[in-house]
Amino acid sequence: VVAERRDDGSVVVSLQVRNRPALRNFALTMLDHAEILEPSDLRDDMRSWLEGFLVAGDARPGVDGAGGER
Amino acid sequence: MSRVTATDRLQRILAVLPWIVQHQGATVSEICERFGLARDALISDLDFVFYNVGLHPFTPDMLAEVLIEDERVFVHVGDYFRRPLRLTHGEALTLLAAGRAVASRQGADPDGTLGRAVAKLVTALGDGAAQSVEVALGSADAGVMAALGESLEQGRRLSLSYYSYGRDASSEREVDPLRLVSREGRWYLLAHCHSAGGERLFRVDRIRDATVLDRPSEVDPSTAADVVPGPNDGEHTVELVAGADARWVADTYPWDELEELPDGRLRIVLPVTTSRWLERLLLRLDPSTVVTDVASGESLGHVAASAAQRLLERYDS
Repeated sequence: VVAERRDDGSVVVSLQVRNRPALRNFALTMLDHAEILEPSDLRDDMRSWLEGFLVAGDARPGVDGAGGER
Repeated sequence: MSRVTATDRLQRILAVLPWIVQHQGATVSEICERFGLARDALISDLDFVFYNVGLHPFTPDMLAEVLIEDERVFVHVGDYFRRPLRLTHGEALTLLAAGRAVASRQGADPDGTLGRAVAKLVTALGDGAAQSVEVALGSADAGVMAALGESLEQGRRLSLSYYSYGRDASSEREVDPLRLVSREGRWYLLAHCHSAGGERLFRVDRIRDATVLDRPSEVDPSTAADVVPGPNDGEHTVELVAGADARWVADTYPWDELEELPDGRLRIVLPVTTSRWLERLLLRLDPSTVVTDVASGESLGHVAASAAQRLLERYDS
């Protein structure tokens, strides 16, 4: 359900969740275009998940895409 | 000069003609709008019908009649079209596949003559026929498809507003279209992109806006490669070593190598076009996943880390 349409074009969506990892994956497919606003435990869950990559990652420069328009 | 292939044109005519026969007196503009056609293309198609649709020996009494009067179109086909067909099973399946392909085109009426004919074929072929032939050409915005069709028909340049899922970015481009193709249920536009300086494949459902420019195309579609490049061309290859619960990756995306390691983890080698796509993939896998660029042998763990850092900025505010 679209709960709010904001002036910058973004929307706030409200949805029922039974599967927390599925929601996290869904939000992550939108990268930094999406954010879990509430409830706070789901928001904290996402934060913890992302922090796990900072611990595991290293600091070498990134690969860039080329060619096809996926 | 028409730039569409004979097959494209025939499919278009087969979609348009039954509808006109059922809607005698429809206006030229109404037909053009429904089927996403330019006026010149429709008139050209009707000329083709007038001179070529009928039975041997194609004398006037054996040809379809086409009349355009006060912008209204009337098409009469003779009773010879009402003769019962006697088809072999193979011919009927071929016809069913072709009928479904034509019915998938923009504007084709699923409840019209063609739709009913396809339904009759399914009935005649018996149980299982409906499931044995599946044709999915893909859906696309009608306005965008009309612009692409017009551009190809008239050999004119297109201005595109395009969203690249892989790069997660929108861009404005000018392209000279080469071919419109359907692959695995999606429409793609093969075009020479002036921004990229080469041929590119654009997913039509990611074209947000398309405008036909008053400028001729500089490329000849007949010189385009017969083999349309896949959407994954021009890619990196990466190796993932992930837990067994990452099998969904192999089930979801094309891979080159899949191996179950003695410790139960999976080794998956797969093509990656852009860093944004890789970010989406890695962030959904466990942070312990090891990812390596196959060509260089370098770790790509930083890709997930930098993406996670970027996302965390939203959650820390």
